[in-house]
Amino acid sequence: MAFLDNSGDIILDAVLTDTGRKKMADGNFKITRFGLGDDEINYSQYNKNHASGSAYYDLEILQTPVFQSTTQVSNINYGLLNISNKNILYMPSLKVNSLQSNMQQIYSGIYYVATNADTVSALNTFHGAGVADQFQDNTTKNVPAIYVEGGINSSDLSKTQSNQAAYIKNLRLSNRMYSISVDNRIFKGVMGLASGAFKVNTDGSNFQLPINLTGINGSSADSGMENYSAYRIKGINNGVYQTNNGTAVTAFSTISGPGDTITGFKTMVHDALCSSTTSDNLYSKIGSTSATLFGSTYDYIDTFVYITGLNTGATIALPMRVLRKV
Amino acid sequence: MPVINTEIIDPTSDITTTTTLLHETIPITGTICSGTYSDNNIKNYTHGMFQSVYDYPYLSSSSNHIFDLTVGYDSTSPVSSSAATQNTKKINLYNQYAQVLLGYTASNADNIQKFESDLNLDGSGVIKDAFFVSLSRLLTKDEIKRGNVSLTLGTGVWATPFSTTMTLTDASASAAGGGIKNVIGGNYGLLYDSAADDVAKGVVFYEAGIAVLTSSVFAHVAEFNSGSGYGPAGADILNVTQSFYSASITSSCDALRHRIQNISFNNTTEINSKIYFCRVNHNDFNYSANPTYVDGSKIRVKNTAGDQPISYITTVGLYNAAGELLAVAKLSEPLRKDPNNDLTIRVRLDY
Repeated sequence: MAFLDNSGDIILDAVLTDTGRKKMADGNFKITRFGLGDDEINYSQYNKNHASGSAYYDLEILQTPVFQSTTQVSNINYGLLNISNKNILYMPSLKVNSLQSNMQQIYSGIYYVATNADTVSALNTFHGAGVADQFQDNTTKNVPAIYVEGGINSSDLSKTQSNQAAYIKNLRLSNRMYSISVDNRIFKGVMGLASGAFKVNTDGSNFQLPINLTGINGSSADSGMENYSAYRIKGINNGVYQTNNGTAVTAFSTISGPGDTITGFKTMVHDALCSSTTSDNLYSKIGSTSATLFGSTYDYIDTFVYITGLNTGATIALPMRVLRKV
Repeated sequence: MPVINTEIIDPTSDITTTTTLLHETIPITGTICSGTYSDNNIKNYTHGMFQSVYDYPYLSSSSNHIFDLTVGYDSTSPVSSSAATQNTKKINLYNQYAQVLLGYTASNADNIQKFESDLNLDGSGVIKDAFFVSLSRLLTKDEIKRGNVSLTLGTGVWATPFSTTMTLTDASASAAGGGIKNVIGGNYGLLYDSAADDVAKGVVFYEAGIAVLTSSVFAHVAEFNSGSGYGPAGADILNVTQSFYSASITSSCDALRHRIQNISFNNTTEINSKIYFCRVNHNDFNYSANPTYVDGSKIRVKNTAGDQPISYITTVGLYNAAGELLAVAKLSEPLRKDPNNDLTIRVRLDY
């Protein structure tokens, strides 16, 4: 994938994607919509303090070389947004919340998934009693789960319900639904939050976390990535606001400013990858086998799971390791 | 990850189709035909009915087939005889080309039309003995451009074939259709000797990419073929009539290659395009989901809420109704988008 020649007029380099070719072969090639992307752009190069004035603010950005098109579907990973309100200064961000119990912790930079009872037992032995939430247990519907919190992560705005309304909900920036994109070779589905509340009393007491998970039926085709399926799970109102008695809420929420919604999920690993009696060559094909980890021997596959707010497109990528005790 | 926002492409106002013709100049120098690769680029077959010319030794994976050569004659030709070498094959080849390119006579449905040195197909000026040059589709693409075909052939003695030359062109054929006959094999034009000859020396079929040359091109060449030992009383020097009669098809093809100095033409590729007009209104696509768009949660391109939002377009994605990305186009440089401008990006897909 080379750069495009940008020495003359602006040109367009267009290709059919793999999906487009398949559709054409099937006689189902019909374009009805378009979207725009800016994946090459690094907006941190926008220099609002350039000494020569506003004409120079985006000089670096406009000189960004652009890659040629590829036939893969991942040419637009984020996309430009149609928001008619011109006066938006803050957009909700996503952060993993692992502050409380039942929220899965990251361990050495990776979120672990234990595929079967033997693996769960081995990991519990390794981590020891009293150390919880280091991995998610694929054998149950129970938490711990990975919680992702949305909101304005800026101390410019206080964490109040009125700011939540003024800066997120009234501006229609709330992500009420999230898309979880997972590698469909590894995962047969995901579980998302079913009900519950995410809140704390105004005096900082009675913290509540939604912990009921339910399987999500049906993936959508719009994951935008090869071998990935997307599942839509709901977000629950982020009702953690600053207290009226000065008690900090940083023990409950990772978002500095007004929150938006929170979502939680667990992955569901394909049965063939969970069985301790049958071997699945996916471990050797895209993972590792008989590796020494946590004082024992495991097969594992590393992957990424992507969580996207379906209104603003805010996205985070989480590294995950699917683990099976040998 | 899913792309959040897409806009509708209206099939009635935002899509149009167009056709353009792309021409390439194809020069084939005689050294490729004979000499450069010591004939390692010439492929002969056990059936002996034609030979293939490649642009590089044909056993190499990087070689490309450029054309085939063969000879044939009509069964009424004077050289047609049961004693002639490969007589049946030569007749069959002539008939095969004729029935595919010209079809059959009106008077009798199973009489194969014959090649003629004019556009009339009236039975006069019949080319009874012919060389056939079948150009590869790799070179001709959709068709040969009319009016640009040129073949330069050596008419000298065997040892110095290019001491005198003859250049055949289809200059009388025009792109508008003048000087062209349309038959079942497509359109064909006549190949004239550029040195003021009023009788055509052959025809060229533009869509099929086939040139048919009468053997009389070399009628005045005493040493057309050499070294074959096929001549009368085992002579090694043959004129073209003797070559058609006595020599094998392969040998006659070798002799023709020996005399090809240059072949040039323009090919034509017909490109059918669909153009999608992606209309971006002033209020559309001014924000981005790019992770670098915000610092914390604050939009980087703004100091205050009143500042205008800005985004930079590098990619246009074309989607179907199910949200699947079917085609993608990249701009050669980022295009600034803010509420002060609207854009129409024209994406052309060629088929």
